[in-house]
This record gives sequence, structure tokens and C-alpha cells, in this order.
Amino acid sequence: MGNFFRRSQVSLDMKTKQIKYEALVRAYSDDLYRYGVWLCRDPNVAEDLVQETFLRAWRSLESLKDQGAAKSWLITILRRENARRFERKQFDLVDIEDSYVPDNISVGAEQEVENHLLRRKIAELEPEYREPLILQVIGGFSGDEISSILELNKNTVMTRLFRARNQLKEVLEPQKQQHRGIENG
Amino acid sequence: MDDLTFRKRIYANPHDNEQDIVDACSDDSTKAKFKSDMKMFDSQLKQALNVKVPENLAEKILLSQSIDSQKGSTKRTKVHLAIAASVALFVGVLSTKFGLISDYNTVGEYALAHHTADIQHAHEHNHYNSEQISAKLAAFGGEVIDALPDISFAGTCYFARIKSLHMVFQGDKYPVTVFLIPNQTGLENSPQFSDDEYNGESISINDSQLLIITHKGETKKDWSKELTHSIKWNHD
Repeated sequence: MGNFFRRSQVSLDMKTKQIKYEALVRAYSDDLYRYGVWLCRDPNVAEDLVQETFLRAWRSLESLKDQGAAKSWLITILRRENARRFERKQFDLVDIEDSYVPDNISVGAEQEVENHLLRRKIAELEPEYREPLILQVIGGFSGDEISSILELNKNTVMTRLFRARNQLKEVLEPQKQQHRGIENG
Repeated sequence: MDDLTFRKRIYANPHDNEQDIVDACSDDSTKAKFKSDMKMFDSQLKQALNVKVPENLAEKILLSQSIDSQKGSTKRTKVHLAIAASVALFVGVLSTKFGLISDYNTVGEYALAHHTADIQHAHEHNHYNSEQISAKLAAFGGEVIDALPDISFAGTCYFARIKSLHMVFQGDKYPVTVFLIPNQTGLENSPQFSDDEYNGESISINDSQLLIITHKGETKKDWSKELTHSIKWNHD
């Protein structure tokens, strides 16, 4: 009898785990993928990274006590997976790192030109500037959260965010001037 | 607040709504405009960062987990779990290296495992027209030329970590699962395969193979004939 109850408890726990897991996958897989693409700049690798991240998340779901922290927990797993990949294949990735600019959701033609330029510039940012920016803009994380994910102090994070936007603004402004010139002429 | 500090704070976070920022904006319209411009720039940034996500990503992840759990469910004791973990690690390394999952030796074994796992997840009731199916088949050199039986699910899936097409057709009594996979999967090919409930067969087409899994209770319709007639396969 005891055994029976234990067993139904186990299957109930399993069901709860499954529901919790499905909710996590549905809520965060898209953002995790986007983050992955900008982190490693290869859509196929990003997809594998997200797959691996969720498999690991399933195996250690019990360690996630605070549901509110789920997204940063998943990002941390993904960063660790990415670091592992780097240790394994550091040299194969150089070409991809230099050339890939992610494709995005289509918008109007004029907007698309600016978007493309912006994406190229984001891709060219130093990773130490790019990463906190992605976490803030895509992930919606606060300065404190980013500092804990990246294990940096908050001032460093805020300075990097400032520099990232500053660099992007700088490269875009001359373009704007040029556009204006064409329109006026 | 001095101008430089204000700008630095807004560059670092255009959505900063701390009281000192709010006050600075209401005292100085130039600052308020600067903040609003930066917020606009940020929405542009967000749009630029918003890359396309692969179709059915969440479903694929749930399916991988399901296959993974089934592999693990027979291991009961801690020792077994530990062994499983090391095997999984070894398999993980192998899979990354050779692009295959070596828990399964043959295409048939993997197809049945994938199919069983999928029964829990991909119970979808979608409707596709032949153009939509042709678009999905195009990657494998296929094109729909005659009416196909109703399809309730069609999407990219990972078959032994290789991108493949997974379709579920409505059979007379039971759904019929079809995988379109490359010939080279790293697994041994299996022309015929089966388990207690299902029969499977594999047909080779160009560089791909079509795996058809039917329930043993399904009527004796010749699915391979039906599919090969309704789909034209372009030779390279």
C-alpha cells in the first residue's frame, strides 16, 4: 500500500515537473534562441545551444526554487554551454564570428535598411559590450540582474551599456546626416 | 543633475525612471527630449535584435526532452543513474563529434523511439494545403503532384540530430507517421522495422529516405505507393 502511494506521488511529481518544464520552454525558448544567436552568431549553433540548455534545465529543474528567476537561470545555463563549446572548438569558429549577421523579422523596406545597418554594427561590437546590451534589450534584465548573470559589478555593467549604445549611436549618426543630405539635394 | 551624468545614465538605460532622472526631465525640456529620443533609439535597437526564431522551436525542445526522459526512465537506482550520466556524456561527446545519437543502432529503432515520444507531444490538428507541403518537401527535392491524404502535422524535426521533415497523415483508423530524412544519418538503414504496435518501412529516394510508420491495426493500404505517386521527386 505504502509503495502504491509512494509511486503515485512520484508520478504526480513527474507530472508537475512536466507542466512546469513545458511552461518554461514555451515562455522562454524564443528569447533564449535570440540571445543565443547574438551570443554565438550562428543560427544552427544557437538552436543546438537552446536544445542543450533545456535538456540540462530538465535534468536539474529541482534546483530552480524561485520561478521569478527562471529566465536568468536559463541564460546562465546557456552561457555555460556556450563556454563549453568554445573550449572544444575555439579555432573552427573564427570565420563565423567575423562574418555572420543575423537575419531578422521583416519590417518595412526603409526600416529594414536601418535595421540591417544596426544589426551589422551590433554584430561588430566587442562581445563585452554586446552581451550586456542583448541581456538588457532582449532579456529585459535590470542592471543588477545583468551584473549577477555576467558576474561583474553593477558599475562595470552600466559603463559597458553606456559604451555599447554610444558606439552604435556614433556609427549611425553619420548615416543619418548622409540621408538628410540626399533628401535636401 | 549635470548634463554628462544624465546622458551617461540614459545611455546605460533609456528606461531609467529613478526619481532624480524624472526630476531632471521635468526641470529641463532638453533632457526630457534626449531621454525620449534614446527610448526611440532603443525600440529600433529592439527591432533590429529581434531575429527570426525557427518554426516549432518549443515543440522540438519538448520532443528532445521526451526522448531523453524515455531513455532514462528504465534506470532506477543511483548507480544506474550514474552510469547513465556517464553514458549520456559519452554519447553527447560522440553526437557532437559525429552528429548522431548512438543510443540507437538503426534508423528503424530511432524512428520508433521518436514516433513514440512524439505521440505525447505533436498531437496537432493542423490543415495544410499542397503548396505548404510542397514548400516543406522542396528541401528534399519533393513536390506534391496529386492529392495527398490529410496531414495533421508537418514540421522540421531533428532526427538523430539531423534536420528532417516529420509529417503525420490521417490514416483510416490511426495516424500514420512519415519521416523524410537524409540517407546519411550515421545510423544503419533498416528497410523494415517494427515493435509491438507499429510496423515501419523505409523507401530510398534520391539522397533521402522516406520512413513510414503505420499502426498494426491500420487497414492494409499501401502507404508507400500512395506517397510515392502523389509526390514527384526531382532528380539532382
